[in-house]
Amino acid sequence: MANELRPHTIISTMYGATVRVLRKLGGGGQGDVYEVEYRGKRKALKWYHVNKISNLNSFVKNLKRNITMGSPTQDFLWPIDMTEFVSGSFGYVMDLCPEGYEEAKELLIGNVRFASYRRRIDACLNIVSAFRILHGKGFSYQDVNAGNFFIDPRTGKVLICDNDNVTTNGEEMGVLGTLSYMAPEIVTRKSFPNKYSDRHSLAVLLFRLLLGPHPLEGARSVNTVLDSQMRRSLYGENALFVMDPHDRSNAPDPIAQEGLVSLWNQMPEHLKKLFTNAFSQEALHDPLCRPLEADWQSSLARFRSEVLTCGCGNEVCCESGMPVPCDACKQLVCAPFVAVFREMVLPVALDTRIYRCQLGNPGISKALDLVAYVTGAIDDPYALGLRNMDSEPWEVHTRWNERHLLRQDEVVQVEEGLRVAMPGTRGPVKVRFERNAQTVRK
Amino acid sequence: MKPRGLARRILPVFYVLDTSGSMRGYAVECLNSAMEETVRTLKNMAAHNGDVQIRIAVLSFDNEARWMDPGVPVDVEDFVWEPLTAELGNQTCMGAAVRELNSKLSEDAFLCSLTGSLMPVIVFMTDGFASDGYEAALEDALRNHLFRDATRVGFAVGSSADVKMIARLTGNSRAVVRAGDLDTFVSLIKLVSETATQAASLSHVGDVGDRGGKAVEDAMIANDDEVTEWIASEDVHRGKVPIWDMNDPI
Repeated sequence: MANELRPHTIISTMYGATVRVLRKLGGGGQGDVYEVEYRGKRKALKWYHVNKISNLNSFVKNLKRNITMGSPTQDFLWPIDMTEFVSGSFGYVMDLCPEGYEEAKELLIGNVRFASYRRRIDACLNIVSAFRILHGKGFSYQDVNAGNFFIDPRTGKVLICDNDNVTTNGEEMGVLGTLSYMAPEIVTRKSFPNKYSDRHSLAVLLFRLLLGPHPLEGARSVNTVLDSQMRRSLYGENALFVMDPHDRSNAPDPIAQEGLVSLWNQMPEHLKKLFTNAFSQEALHDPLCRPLEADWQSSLARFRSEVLTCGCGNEVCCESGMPVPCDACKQLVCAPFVAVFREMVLPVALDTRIYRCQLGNPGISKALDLVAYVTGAIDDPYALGLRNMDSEPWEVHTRWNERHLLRQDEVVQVEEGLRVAMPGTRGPVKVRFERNAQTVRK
Repeated sequence: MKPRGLARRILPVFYVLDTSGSMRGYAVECLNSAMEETVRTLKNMAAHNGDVQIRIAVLSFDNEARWMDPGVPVDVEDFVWEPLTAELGNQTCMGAAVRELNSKLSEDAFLCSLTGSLMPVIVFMTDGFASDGYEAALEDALRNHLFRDATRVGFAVGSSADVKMIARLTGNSRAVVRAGDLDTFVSLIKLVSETATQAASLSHVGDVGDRGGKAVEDAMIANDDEVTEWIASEDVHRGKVPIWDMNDPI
């Protein structure tokens, strides 16, 4: 390639620093990525193939604006500096993707596996939270697809890259996206990418992360050649959800996609409803009817709390704390306790989490703060403890009617009749703990 | 025989939002995102508040004032937020907005309901100074008890917003939220909508008082990290306490 950068090339930047090229890390459609030295640290440099950028002036202006505005959250590999033009091309500097993060594509294919299903949900939660903040700041991302997400399969932490196309919602950057993730109105060229098409792409990504196959590729897509016309119909004008309750003509193929139906049936009702809404005919064709990030956040946080590990190691969803037979070993999986909230019931077992967005309607950036965590005891395999992860103290009533304050990092043993008042956004949220029927400790 | 559910009282919530030229770009997009979430919050409230039906109407104003589709207050359950836009060079005709709102605030227009309507909630937002004389329009509106006794709150966003105007529109400087930047506005509009709607749905005839100021105060307390009233007693433990595993879970 003509504009390939040689090692040790030095280029100056917008903020008066320099980058020294170390080595090439990879290439993509829009440009190549190099490891560079920048202000004494190892960073990544994206170097553009300028001929692939349709409107260079507005692209550069937008990139500069993103750099000055700064990253919306730490979940973005955000541009931090831009280089000058060298032999007709230029690039921007961002953080290197740390060790342990994998491309979401690899996780979807199954080349790399999540540590657990709960880590999958964590990854989804982190993605929707980052987008809630991004959209809340008036941005749109434009090109949501699995290639732009790095996920740590051990923790579910997420880094979102390729933020050079991020722009004020409603502005056109000349990017259309990746066909299978594009919203129908983008596939049919009725609209340019915006916040609303982001929401469709997000729903596709979440469906794929949680269930595997593509939500619009059912019976209509098997035993056929997926040529471009077919794909346009599948994702565009004739898009139909594989689990559409009213029209089963694109239902999963019983042989080619046999796993999907049983996995779908294990999902909790609140999440199924959200997917059904997100891919309903109404939402596919009216961008304003798509679920908000906040809707995904509360459903996923609840789902996260509902997944338990069976004694055999398999994970199952105990919706509202109801005991469920394990789909692998057929043993009944039942949380030792349930936490009764005013509006929902959650199973309580090791590693159960309660997030701030489950206690009301907090600020966007606080929604995923961990408020409570269920831990085990080192000296007693049957004891469960509820740990206060919040800086605010809780008021705790034990079953002996003793009241005390539980401060940050303190633990109270979970017992029948324990009542806890956690500070929510609109006054204390009262939670009562009850022993679950059919206790089997896992 | 099945008893029929109680007819739900209507609670109209009006938003009067600035889409003048200075709101163009990020500002109006932030406003759109914030309002989408606000509508979601009100939907949740309506779902858990059996005796009130929340109806929303949105009036945006620049050179003129116009109602968002469908142009009448609709049940929040059926309401879809149509993204607002702001065009460069457009003015801030708050007077026109107040006049338009006032013309619809009557039992024959937007507050017509068989089951009875509660006093409305009105939320104002601007990031600038009125470019028309809003004072005369406000004086007119204050003669309408449905405006005067409404739960009125207002947002002055950014450093160049006319705080005094918002105070006069809400009738009370305590009912004004000064949001230094859009981020603050985004996090507060949801809370204030919630507290104001709560206050209005609990209000009774004759109980005029200062609901706007109270709503803003409640929202500020909720937004504050400090929780004010907590009993302070020492930890009490009984019997043997297990040694908890404190390894960082995340």
